[in-house]
Amino acid sequence: MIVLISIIALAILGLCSGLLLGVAYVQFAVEEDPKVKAILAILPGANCGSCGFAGCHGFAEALVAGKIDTSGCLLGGIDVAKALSKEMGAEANLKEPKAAYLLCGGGCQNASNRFEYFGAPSCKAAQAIGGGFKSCIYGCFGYGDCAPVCPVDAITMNEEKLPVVDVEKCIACGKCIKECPRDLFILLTKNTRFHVKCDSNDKGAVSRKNCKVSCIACLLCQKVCKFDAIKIENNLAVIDQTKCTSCGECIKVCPTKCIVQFVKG
Amino acid sequence: MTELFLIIVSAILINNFILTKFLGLCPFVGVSNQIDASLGMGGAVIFVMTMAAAVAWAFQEYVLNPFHIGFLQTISYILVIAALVQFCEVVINKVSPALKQALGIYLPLITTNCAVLGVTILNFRSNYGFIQSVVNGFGSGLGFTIALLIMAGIRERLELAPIPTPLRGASITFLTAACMSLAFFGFIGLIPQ
Repeated sequence: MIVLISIIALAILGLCSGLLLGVAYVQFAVEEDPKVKAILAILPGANCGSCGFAGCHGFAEALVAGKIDTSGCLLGGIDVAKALSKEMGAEANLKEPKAAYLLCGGGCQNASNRFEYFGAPSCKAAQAIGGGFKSCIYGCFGYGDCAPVCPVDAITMNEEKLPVVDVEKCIACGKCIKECPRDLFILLTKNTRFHVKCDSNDKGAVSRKNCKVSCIACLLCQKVCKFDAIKIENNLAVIDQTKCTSCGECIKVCPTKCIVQFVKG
Repeated sequence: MTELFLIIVSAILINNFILTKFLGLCPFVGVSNQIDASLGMGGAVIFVMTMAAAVAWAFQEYVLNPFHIGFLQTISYILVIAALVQFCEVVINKVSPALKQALGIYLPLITTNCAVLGVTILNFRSNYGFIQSVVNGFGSGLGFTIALLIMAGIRERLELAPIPTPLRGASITFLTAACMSLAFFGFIGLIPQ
């Protein structure tokens, strides 16, 4: 008897719960925009967050609401942007794909230290103590805070304790830019061939003392550039990528070799 | 009124679900990385515990007791609470998108979490009435949130601390939890039994 009662009681309980939930799903159904669903099907679904929204669903809602254009998905790249544009019936606004580039070449062998640092192995912690142990107040600490935040594992640390960005892998999400306490990453287009691997605004003499591969603002590159693409601003050479023709003259004259060339592959 | 106040204080400090009863440890370790996340989780737990305490009391009083099938308590509580949480999620989804943003992702995670089930069964064992049950559920949720927040605060600071290599990760978390539990043990003398 008691067995029967308990079986019946549980069956009724299950039935009631099921009915309640079933009714609730119909009664309180939230109508989702069919367009959001269609867009979600196109997106990579990695929920990496590099578009700036909470996952792919957030991106899809923002796209439908018109807050972002179809090239917003960095992970998906051009293919996804084209597919999205087709879905949205809009003209694809295809941007040149970008990648993060490091603005420092002064690893542990080339740059000198002001004092010995024994604290936590983190760039942020190092920055907090006396403004950093490096003589150069602009240079990379080399503890690699940037590497673990990269969603596609494009950053590795080399033997000089400098982060190396795999340009092909990089999706330009900007997380390393936010993570670096010294703002040493910039986004440049992936076909960038020449860039200045230094961020020091110190005067030439000071820079040279601090680091063997810093820009010393000697003006040689500015003079040699036939296309007016290099300017010295605040004691630092800056290449205007829109004017640079990748002729490579600046590399030949740079005394500290702080201008570097990227070879594809 | 005094009794209800005592129930709340006791649920938060003396019978803290995580640190004294060792229930609900998975969200305690899992969602205590950041203060923001643990606030969301805590809110969801308070909500679910209060609701579960009320519904479980009613279920016990009007179904289990009259039919003398008290041995079905655990399994039927699980069913009732799971259905309740799912129902609440659907309703919140429709009624308040803002609340859904805050609690939404945590609600399914704690569908019949052991702490939620624990609060209902302990209510029954203490012979609490309806109001006492609800207050105890609310207080237990609050205690859970406080433990979670303290843990999250400590863990955010631990990120930067120079921890010996063998202790990094889960082991330092467990050691921290043990120290917190010891500290909360000191509250036992607060209310004379």
